[in-house]
Amino acid sequence: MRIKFEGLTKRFPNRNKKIKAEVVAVDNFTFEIPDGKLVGLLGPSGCGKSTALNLICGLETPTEGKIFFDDDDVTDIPAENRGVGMVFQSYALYPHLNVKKNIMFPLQNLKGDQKLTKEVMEAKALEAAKIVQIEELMDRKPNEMSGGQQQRVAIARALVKMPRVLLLDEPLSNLDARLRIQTREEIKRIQNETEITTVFVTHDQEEAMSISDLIVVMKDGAVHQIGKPQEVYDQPANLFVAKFLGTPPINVFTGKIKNGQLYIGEDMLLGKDYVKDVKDQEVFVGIRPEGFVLREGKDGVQDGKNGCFHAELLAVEVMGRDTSVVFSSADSEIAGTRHRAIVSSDNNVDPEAKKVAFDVNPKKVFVFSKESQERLI
Amino acid sequence: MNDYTQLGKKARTAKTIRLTVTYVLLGIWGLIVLFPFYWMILSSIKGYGSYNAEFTPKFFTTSPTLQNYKDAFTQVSLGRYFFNTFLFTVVTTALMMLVIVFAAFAFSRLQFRGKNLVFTLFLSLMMIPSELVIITNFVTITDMGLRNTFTGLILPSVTSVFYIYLLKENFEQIPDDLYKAAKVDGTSDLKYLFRVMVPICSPTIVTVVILKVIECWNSYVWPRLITDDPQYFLVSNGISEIRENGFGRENIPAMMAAVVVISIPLIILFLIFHKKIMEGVSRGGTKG
Amino acid sequence: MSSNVTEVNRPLTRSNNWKKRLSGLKAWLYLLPALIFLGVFMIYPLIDVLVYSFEEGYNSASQTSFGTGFYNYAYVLHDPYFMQAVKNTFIIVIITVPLSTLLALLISLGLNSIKKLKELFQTIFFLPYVTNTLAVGLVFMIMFKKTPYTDGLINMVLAIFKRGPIDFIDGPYWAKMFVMCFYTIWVVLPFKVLILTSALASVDEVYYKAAKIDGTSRFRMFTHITLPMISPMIFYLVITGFIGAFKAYSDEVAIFGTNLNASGMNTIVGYVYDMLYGDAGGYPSYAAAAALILFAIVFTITVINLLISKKTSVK
Repeated sequence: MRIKFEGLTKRFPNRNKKIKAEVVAVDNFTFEIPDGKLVGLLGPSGCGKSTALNLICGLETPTEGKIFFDDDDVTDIPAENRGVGMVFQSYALYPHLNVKKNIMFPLQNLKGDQKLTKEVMEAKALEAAKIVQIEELMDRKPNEMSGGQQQRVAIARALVKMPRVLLLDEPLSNLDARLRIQTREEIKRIQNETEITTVFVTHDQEEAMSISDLIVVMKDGAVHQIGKPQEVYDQPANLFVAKFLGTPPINVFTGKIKNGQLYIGEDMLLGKDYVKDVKDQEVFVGIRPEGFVLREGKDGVQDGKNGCFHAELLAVEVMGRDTSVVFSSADSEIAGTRHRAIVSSDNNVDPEAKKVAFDVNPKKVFVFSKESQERLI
Repeated sequence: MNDYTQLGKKARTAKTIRLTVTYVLLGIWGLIVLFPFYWMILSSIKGYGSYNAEFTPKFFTTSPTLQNYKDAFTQVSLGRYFFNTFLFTVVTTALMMLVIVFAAFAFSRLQFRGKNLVFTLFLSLMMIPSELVIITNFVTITDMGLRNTFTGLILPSVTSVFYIYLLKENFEQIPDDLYKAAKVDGTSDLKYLFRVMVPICSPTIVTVVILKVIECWNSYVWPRLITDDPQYFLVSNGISEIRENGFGRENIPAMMAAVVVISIPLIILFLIFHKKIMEGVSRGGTKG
Repeated sequence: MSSNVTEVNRPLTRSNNWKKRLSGLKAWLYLLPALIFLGVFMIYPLIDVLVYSFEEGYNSASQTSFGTGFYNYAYVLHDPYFMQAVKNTFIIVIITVPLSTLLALLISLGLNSIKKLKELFQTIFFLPYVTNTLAVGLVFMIMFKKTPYTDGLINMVLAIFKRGPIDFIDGPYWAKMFVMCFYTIWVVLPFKVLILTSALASVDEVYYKAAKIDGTSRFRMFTHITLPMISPMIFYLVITGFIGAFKAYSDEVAIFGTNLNASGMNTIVGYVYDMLYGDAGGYPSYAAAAALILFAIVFTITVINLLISKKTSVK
């Protein structure tokens, strides 16, 4: 099912009662989530992504705007009539019920001609349990299971009534690192199998990038960019998006455009071919760690002299496949930042050298306006 | 789509109705709770004559008077009862606080042989109903010749196993390192107790004090057994005495004035500390 | 080597031991006041009350008795006043405990479903807890009492419905019992409402959200989520409620005055005190026997309650 937002806005009164101004949790959402896709709502904590999820499922009513499921306006429909399934961050499994009863719970709510017999309910519960592969645990109580198992039960409970939309609130945040990778693949698999439009919320960009068909990057209630993960990574719309995606994070410097060329300090990074007709101005320059190419000297060793970007070498960390070069620059956006370049381990870097010089891969260099922080190049 | 709009509307109407009903019912119970207070204040400011002339009681009065309050303090020794209760409450609470702070300190911080055994014994004492021991205590106090004395009134209620337990649990949450640091600095146990532990646990201490004050102010059974001289009556006994012998029995407005005067201190205390009191009670107070 | 170590350690251990003993002594010193008071006013009486209850014909004036046995229990159990007190107590318990718990649950549910005025309501509802029961009892008495001068407030209300007038204080037994139960509930409700409100508030909101999305009806949410989750607190209230109601006494005095036997509204605890002191007083043996009978009743009921609660929570 398609989910469409039209000017969706949610404002809360400020928690600090002395402040009159309202908090805008969701600011004028207008976009569409296509049918059958896995969509990640991504943003730092407090950006309103959970509120957005609550608006979709109907636990909150919007201050303004509309929500459509396909062509139905569901803005005023109570949660129970929307046919959504939701997995909560804490799973919200009923502690006094065993797995089977937890999964059957939504089915037992059906009334009138939708009412099911006990046999049908049990069959459906088993079916849902099979999808998430927990059919052996049906008699356990929630507190007798690991976090990962509880998570599966929660998904099974959300799936059992065949929802039109599946919503997951920070689905991996309560799991340890190893389980996290396993579970996110699991979510992808379940979504592929069921083909239910799925929206999940996360603050972890890696999580969002790895499984989403589409990511929505949010900050302060506003959508900053929507796109396929790779697109958003390669073509960030603004400085925030560029900074938020990618580990290690993008390196940001202050620079300027002068005579149609991009400078960081004295170093000229991009020529007229790239800068094209952007006006001369102060800018922020973001360079992905993998966008640096070591410029080697005559004897094949880094000499810190040649290259279009010069910096102070701080450390060299060998990580096997890659080498990470840690450096500082006088032109950092935030003074004293330890920047990081990821280069192939074939490169020889002398850890004792004081200086380092790089070429840059223009595709990995993004230029943002200093004022609006919007992307220029 | 029409269906959907209707569903939304229905849900909203149901919610409004539910909320209205809830407020009305809560309001009714609020009235039931508050009405006796209103009635006692109202009756206390009606004149003796006008009160008795109302065959059908009126819900207001056009000629309020403070005469009843004057009578309450002059015709019966309300002031005396008041002072007695005040003294009883302050001394009992203060003594009890000392006793329980020391005991809780010993249990929570000091190491000694038989600690667990003694503490278990303490805990099992919590299950003993006061009705069982009051009989002997009555005889003990009588035999000691302490009837109609403050000592006799106060002594049996200066310990509380429950409060020792509550305080001990709280004391134990203070990190060991603080005690060690104080020891290194050469702080004596007693000083550590009153300079560090008591201030840190002041919320619990305040809670216990408040609960004990309420208990003392309202205590009735023990004072009734141990005093028959009105010189030593507390307010509860005073009320019972007033009801039976004071004001020539039928002077209800004067009685109500006495009731108002007696109720006011705790109500004021409650209005100031209502959050603290309710928190304290829900953490483990029971009435009496 | 090993002997060397022991030798070096010996003096140290000795001084440590001495220190330990000293700090142990200090600990006992801190405990001393509590131990003395508890010993004199709780532990000794506990043994003594048993002794009293088996001493036949003990006279508190001459401090003599003429034998031991079950006579005191037999006397108490054959005393019509005691039987009346038992009957009254049981009626009060059976009516007020379930009713007050149920009412408290309803009020707490109401409180938990509102936002505006919630704190005001909570504060008002708690007010009876901090008031002097004797004092407010007097107000209840005059509201319900019928005198030659006035039928009283309640009878005025009843008259609107063409009922009454009934003398609730000196009239028929059921009317007196009604006032008694009404007042008891009024007095015990604040504590129960407070406990249940915080129990309800401690149920994680997320369960209700999950249930709402799954289309759970409000009734089912209550029976399948709320009740199971707050059931420990309900059991706690029922158990303490039973114990408290069995000890009913001062609320009765508040409404009916000190001579409870005369008004036929005495309770077991009232009987104990009357035996000890008061018009019929001076018989600590009878009082002790009655108190122990009460203790046995309360103990049995509490054990039954605990068994039921255990069974239910296991299920």
